[in-house]
Amino acid sequence: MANYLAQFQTIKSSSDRIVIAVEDVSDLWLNVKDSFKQRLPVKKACLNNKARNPVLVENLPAEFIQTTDSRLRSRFPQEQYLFWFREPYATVVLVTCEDLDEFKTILKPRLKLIVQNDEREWFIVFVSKAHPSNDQATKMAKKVYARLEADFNTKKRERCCKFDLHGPDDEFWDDFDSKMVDCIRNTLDRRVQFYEEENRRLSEQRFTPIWNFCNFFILKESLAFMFEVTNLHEDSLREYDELELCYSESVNLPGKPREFGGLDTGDDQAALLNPGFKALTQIVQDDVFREFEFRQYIFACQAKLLFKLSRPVEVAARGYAFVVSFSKTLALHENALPFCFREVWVITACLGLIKSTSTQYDGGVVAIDSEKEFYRLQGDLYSLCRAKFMRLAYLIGYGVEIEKSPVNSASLSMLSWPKPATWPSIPPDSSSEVMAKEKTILQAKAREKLFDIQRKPLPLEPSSLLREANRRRAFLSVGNLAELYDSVDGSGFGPHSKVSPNKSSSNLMTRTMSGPATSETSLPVDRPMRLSEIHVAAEHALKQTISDPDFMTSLSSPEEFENRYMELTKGAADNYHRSWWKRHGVVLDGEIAAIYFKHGNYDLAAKSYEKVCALYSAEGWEELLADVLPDLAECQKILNDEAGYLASCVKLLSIESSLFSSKERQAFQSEVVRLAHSEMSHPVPLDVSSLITFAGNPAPLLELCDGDPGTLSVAVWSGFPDDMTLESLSLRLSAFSSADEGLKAIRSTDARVLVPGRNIITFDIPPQKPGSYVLGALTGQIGKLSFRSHGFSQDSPVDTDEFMSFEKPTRPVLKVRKPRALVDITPAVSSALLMNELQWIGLIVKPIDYSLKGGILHIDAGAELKIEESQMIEIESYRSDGDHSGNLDASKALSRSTDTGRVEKVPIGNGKIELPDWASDVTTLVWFPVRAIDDTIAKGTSPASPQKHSIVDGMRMIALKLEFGAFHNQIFERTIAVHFTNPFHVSTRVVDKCNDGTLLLQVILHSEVKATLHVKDVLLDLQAGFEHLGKGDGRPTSSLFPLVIAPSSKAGILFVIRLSGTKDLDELEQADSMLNIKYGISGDRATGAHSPVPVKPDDSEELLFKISLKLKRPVLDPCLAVGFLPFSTDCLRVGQLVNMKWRVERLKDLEEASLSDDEILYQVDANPQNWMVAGRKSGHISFSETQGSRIEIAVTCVPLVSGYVHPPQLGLPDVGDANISCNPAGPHLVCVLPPTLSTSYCIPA
Amino acid sequence: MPSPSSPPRAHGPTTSREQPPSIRRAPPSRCSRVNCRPADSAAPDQLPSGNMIVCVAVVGHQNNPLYLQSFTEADDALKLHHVVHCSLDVIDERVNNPKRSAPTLNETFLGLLYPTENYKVYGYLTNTKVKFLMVTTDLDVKDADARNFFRKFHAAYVDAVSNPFHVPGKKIASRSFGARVSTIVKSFGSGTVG
Repeated sequence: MANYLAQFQTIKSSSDRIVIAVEDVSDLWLNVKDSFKQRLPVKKACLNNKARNPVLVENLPAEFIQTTDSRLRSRFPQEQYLFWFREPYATVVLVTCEDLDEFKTILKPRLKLIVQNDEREWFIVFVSKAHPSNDQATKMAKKVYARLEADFNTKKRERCCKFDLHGPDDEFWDDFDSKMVDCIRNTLDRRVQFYEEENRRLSEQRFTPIWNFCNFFILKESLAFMFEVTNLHEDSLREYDELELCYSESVNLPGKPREFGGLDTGDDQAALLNPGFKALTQIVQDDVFREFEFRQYIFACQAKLLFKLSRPVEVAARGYAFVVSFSKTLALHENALPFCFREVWVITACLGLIKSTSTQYDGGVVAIDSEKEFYRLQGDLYSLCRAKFMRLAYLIGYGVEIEKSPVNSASLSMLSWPKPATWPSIPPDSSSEVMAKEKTILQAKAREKLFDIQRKPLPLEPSSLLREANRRRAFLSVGNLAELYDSVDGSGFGPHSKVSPNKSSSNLMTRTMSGPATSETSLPVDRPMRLSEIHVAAEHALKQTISDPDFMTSLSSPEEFENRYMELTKGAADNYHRSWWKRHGVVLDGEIAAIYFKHGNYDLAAKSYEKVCALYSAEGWEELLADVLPDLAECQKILNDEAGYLASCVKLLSIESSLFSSKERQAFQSEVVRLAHSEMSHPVPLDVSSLITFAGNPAPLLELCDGDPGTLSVAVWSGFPDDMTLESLSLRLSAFSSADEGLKAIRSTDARVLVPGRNIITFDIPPQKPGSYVLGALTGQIGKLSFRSHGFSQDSPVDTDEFMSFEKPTRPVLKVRKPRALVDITPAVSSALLMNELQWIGLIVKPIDYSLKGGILHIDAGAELKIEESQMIEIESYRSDGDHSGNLDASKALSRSTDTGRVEKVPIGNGKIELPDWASDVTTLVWFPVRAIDDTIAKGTSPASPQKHSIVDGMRMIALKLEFGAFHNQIFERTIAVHFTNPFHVSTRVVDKCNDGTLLLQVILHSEVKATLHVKDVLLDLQAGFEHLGKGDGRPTSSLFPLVIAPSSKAGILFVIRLSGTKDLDELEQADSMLNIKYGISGDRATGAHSPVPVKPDDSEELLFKISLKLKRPVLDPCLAVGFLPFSTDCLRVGQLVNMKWRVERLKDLEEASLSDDEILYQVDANPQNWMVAGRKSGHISFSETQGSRIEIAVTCVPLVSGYVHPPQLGLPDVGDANISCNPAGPHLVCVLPPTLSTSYCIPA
Repeated sequence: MPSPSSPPRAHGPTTSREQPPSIRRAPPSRCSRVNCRPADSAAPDQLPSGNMIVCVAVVGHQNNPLYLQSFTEADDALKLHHVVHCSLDVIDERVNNPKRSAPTLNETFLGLLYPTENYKVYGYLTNTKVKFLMVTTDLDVKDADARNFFRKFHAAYVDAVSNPFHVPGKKIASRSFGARVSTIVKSFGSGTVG
């Protein structure tokens, strides 16, 4: 059956559409041909796929062929089955008839004969020639057609349609199409079934000896081809997939060795997208195809179908997998293939795939995922191609042109050398080439990197090429030498030399190799080749292998190589970028940059290198960064990009120190220093966050009170390998809560040189606002270069991975507390002190967890208070009762107890006291003497003249100001009030009035102080109008002195006096009696009043207190009586007018009375806040001189406020009090009601 | 001419290569490779002595390298850095497109990441987004073996980072971890045989 292969191929290539046979019974074809052909290709057809599911196919290509055509006639039945796919899918029977009889007798039997062949799907087109105007003919045609239908239509299927030659309507064509499609579908179904059965039959024989892959292939591909022709591409593809699978299984079966193929001219160019590259007959061997060609063929068929299905992404995906797996297959057969055949094939395959898929790919309509995948595959293809291309270039000596970067090393150093049966030998007459190569090898030297970085270049070879090549040659020589010569003489390339195309040249080559020393290049077999010779030999061998001249050109010179290399690298990089494989893309960008760099295109190189460096440093791949960063630095240096160069140097320094030698690191540092001290054209701040890091001390954070300065010590790690001299260094603190607040640069005073590693640097902190502060940034200057660092390190040396340390929450290093009371000063006295005497005032100065060291207390006594500066101030430690019971810790209690009872006297000057050091942490009591001055003479009270005693009178203010803190920056100010009082309050009352005019005057002494008073003597100087009885020395009647008055108690003293009958009493009444009390005091200064501070040593302790007493003569001579008349209304209201009435009555006749005037002045006194007086407030009244005459005074008033208020009073200023009797007395208080509610405000809405 | 063609064929590499791939195992093929060059056994080649794993790496959740150990004798670890680094592209893609890796969903083992002609990269992703990678030149690693290897590797990693002196997110400097990883790597080679 394999014989049919050739035939099969030709049939397949000739029939690219389905055939519809036309059985032209009535010679009508010529008439209808054109209109029929216009219906093709079939616009829409519903066909069944292999799974018997309906599939809508569009534009089904088809062709009408008459059954009389030679193409359909000359076939043998056997062929017909085998190549059934090319047989007609439908038969159109064209008939016409205008006569029923003719139809019955001639046409019908003939038609029956035609359609009896069951194999065929047929339908009848009745062509009516009748002209529409010719009714007769039309009717006849209708009759005949009806008959035809009756004869040939079945219930299941209508097989007839009528075609009107003179005006075919659309209905016919629809009918025609559907019938044709029905036929095609039926035929297709039948044939698919047939092929499937055949396939199954053959598959069952798979493992029997009679099985023949060729037969299977023909059947399988026939089916696939049939699907393809009927546009059922999916099914076709599936068939090819199955075919491929089957082939793989059969080819891997152990058995007799088969030819692999790939030895023809042009085989090195991959044909995986060109199914017609080689005729199948050429590649068949026995009953199986050669693997090399056949696999490519299958793939090409699949790719063609996938392109038809618009799935270029899948082509790329399958293609890449195919290339990789086929490359492995090639490796298995490598020793039979030309030198580097595998590499060349892969390159051409990749390029072919890239080209075809990218032209077929029209992006946009696909999902983002498949778009990414497509570009990723393109990138993979490019980079695979690139690796193989570099391998070839390396073999022929362009290795020096290839950057020894990690990416190139990764793709080349793990890629094994080609393994030809024998390594190619050096061709004759190639001495000049060898010389040239030798020269390039000698000239090539590793590019000197900046900073003298010495690195062992990464390998680009899996093992030394020199060794490998010689080993592969020596391997021959180790074997049978004679055999070797035989082999060499015979073919030059081992077992398959018989198909080698360039026999003559290889003979030439080998002959030279074997010949005995014909020239300077002649080699004895055992002499190892030099590297240059290997290169030349490889180049010549490659020329044999590569059939594409264009490809060979790209290996012809380093420049050409570089162009192609660039093209491939760019292609890979661009596609990887588009596929979001940024790492692949960026790394390849770095390779492009290396070429730019080589050509002096530093600008572009720097840009690409920057991307690479950013990628590596972002993810912390320092080893890789260390490889590429020096290149970037070099570009920047050449481009004079100072900022970038500096940043690169800093970055180099901050890379893990083990990656560079100390000498290199010193070179980096000296570059930084050199630039920093040079005149930079554009000085920019340098970020050294990765190099200089800092952290607060691990000790507890520094806590400061509001307003206090402090010193903060910060650990700064320098990553410089040597000492670094700084011009300045300052630190920024930022508030913990908000970033914008409190950013203050604090300059360090002592930092000048940073040693490598840890430095402790102290910063003086001026007063800060309250809050927590974290370290913000470290700034400073190296030479003219300012730098800043944001790098925090967490109590760890700098050489750990600071990449992560930015993450860590920063700890506050400084806490400035909210303003709080740091000290409290309270007066120590609880009760009043003695007025006009020198008294101690105690101040309790209580530090609240804050040292008062060096504190200065300013005491500013207010008015009427004087500090006695001649006296020393006493300071003593203070223990309050609360402290004993409090839960103080032991140490405090201890310190307190040791200081107990300590008293120190310090001077006071200008109101300032310096607190002693011992007093800085303990509560102290400061005693200082003051004298409150009150020039007024105290007044006693009596029932007649109750005098209100205001507590404010005895108040004296002391303004205190305490300056403390390290820099006297803390100020505590307080004004305290101290109460001073007289020792006694004196009240008098007349206890009894004797008949003889003697008055018993009781003087009551109220003690006003919380101290015991000793009254030693009392002397009463009476005012005029009074006089003492008895001895008349003004002393009390009984002598009880010394009289002791306990605190807050009273004592009474009795005086016997009488009125002295003098005239002009009114004048005399102005004078007061004076009570002189001599007394002593014994009190505690901590409680209140105490004995005065002796100013002079000889001051007696006896004190004198003077108080004036106003004695009032009784009203002995009443002339006038004033009475208040009741109100006319029950109640007073605010705003209501009210009449106030007083009645004045003369009690004595004018002559007897002491009053002379008959006109009396009156005056109404009213509190203007409570009352409004309408009318005259004062005036004169005149009334009769006779006793008993009376007069009423009325004044209209308006109460202004509600409540109990004093009513207005009527006074008679000209008449002495002694002459006025008030009877009845006016009311003390009257009740005033609030105003009546105004309804006008309460109108309901 | 059949006779000249026979010598190369009779030799090790050819015969071993002609075996079907399914029965080719790494150690035998390596042995045969050694056999084929008796005169030149000193060649360090790309292969280490003990096994086929050339590199293992731990990469943190921010794609930062935490540990990378190469097992090649040549001083060319940098290229393996590159390989591991580039493989992160694949991991990123798989993690970001979970539907494409439906079978590996909810599984730590990511399988073969990066097949090339010469080496393979396998990946493993922990719940904390720490990645383990393994580069091998053995082209016929079974998934089960790789899975097993990663499980041991993961256990070693967990022990290493559980050390209270280890700072999370920093490189693993523990020497005992290195030793343990080396043991695991060595046992990987023998595990495939036995």
